[in-house]
Amino acid sequence: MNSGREIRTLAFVRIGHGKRRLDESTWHASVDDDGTDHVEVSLWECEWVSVGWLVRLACILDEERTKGRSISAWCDPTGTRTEPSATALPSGRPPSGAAAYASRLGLFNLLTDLGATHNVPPVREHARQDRFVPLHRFGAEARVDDMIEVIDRRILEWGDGVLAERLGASLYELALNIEEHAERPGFAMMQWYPKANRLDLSVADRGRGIRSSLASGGHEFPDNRAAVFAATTERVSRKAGGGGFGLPYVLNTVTQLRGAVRVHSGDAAVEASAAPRVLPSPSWQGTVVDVSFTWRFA
Amino acid sequence: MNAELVAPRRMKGRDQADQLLSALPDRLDGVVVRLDVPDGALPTPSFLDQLVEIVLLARGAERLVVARASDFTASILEASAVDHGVADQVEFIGPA
Repeated sequence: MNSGREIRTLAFVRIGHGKRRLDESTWHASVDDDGTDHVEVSLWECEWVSVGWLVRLACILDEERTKGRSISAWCDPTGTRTEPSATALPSGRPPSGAAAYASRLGLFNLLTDLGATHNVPPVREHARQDRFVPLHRFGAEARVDDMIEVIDRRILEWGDGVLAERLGASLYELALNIEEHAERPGFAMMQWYPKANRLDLSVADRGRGIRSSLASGGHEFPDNRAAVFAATTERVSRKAGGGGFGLPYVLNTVTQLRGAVRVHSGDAAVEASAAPRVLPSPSWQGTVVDVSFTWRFA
Repeated sequence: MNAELVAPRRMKGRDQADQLLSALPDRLDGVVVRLDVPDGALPTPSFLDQLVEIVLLARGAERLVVARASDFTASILEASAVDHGVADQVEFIGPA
């Protein structure tokens, strides 16, 4: 890869720079399209990778690869070729725990599938598959079912079949909804954090987004804020004569269960709650749904 | 006249509901449609909303009788029926 040509950085995806906690908002500021032909991901100061961040990264890299751009990813400074500050760090530093963690969550397989040059450690199989459903593309129905199984297993451990049904059904609806409307491949993953009794799920695509999808059904909105708010609170759909029931219903259900849901499309995001509100957000081409649910013992 | 349907254990989107309903006639005037929900079935609001809309509104069935629905499935169906103005045409019964 990159043989005989200058490596330049199209989108330098800086992960964990300055030892910041990585979440779904941090990458936006560091993507810089300068018209060149390479994407590089630096993982070596990464201390934390959120589920939402990883699905967004997967979408970006997949899109860049589709455009014919090459990709590299480095989890220690010795591999980094385009980051100026990399040379200031001691070489031979071991990959961060977060890089290994991201690999286990599916980053290794993604980079390999995309033909990336990388030194992300290979996935080590272990017996914790019941704690997460790794990063995967839409369209893999079995993976959606895997998510439901994880929810069932973890929540039924506490004997709460009602909660498992409501949360499982809500997540199922969300995953199916975004898949149906995306019209472009996207990614999803889920992680269970046993110590915190928390479950995080994110589903993201780089499709046309909610506003455009609704417009195709005859629902015109002046901006993303109005479109996302309507899609999450009202019965509106891209389909003529029906639809638009599922998303508001499950957002309400998850909120009643004291979970958090955020739907992000374009430059707007709605946080579901008893009084849903629109938050200004960094622009995202497509749609992302982030769900976080913490089980609280009675 | 009655018609019977069995919900899948994993209810998915509207397309799957349409598929299930393709076994029924285009018009259901005067027909009571019974929907059996298997134990452990996982409902989705989209699937159930499509069922209510097509059976009662589009095809004009007299009633939708739902057997063995969990509380959550029943609550989704009730909300959908209220939305469509057909709440009095949805009935819930226990196991046959």
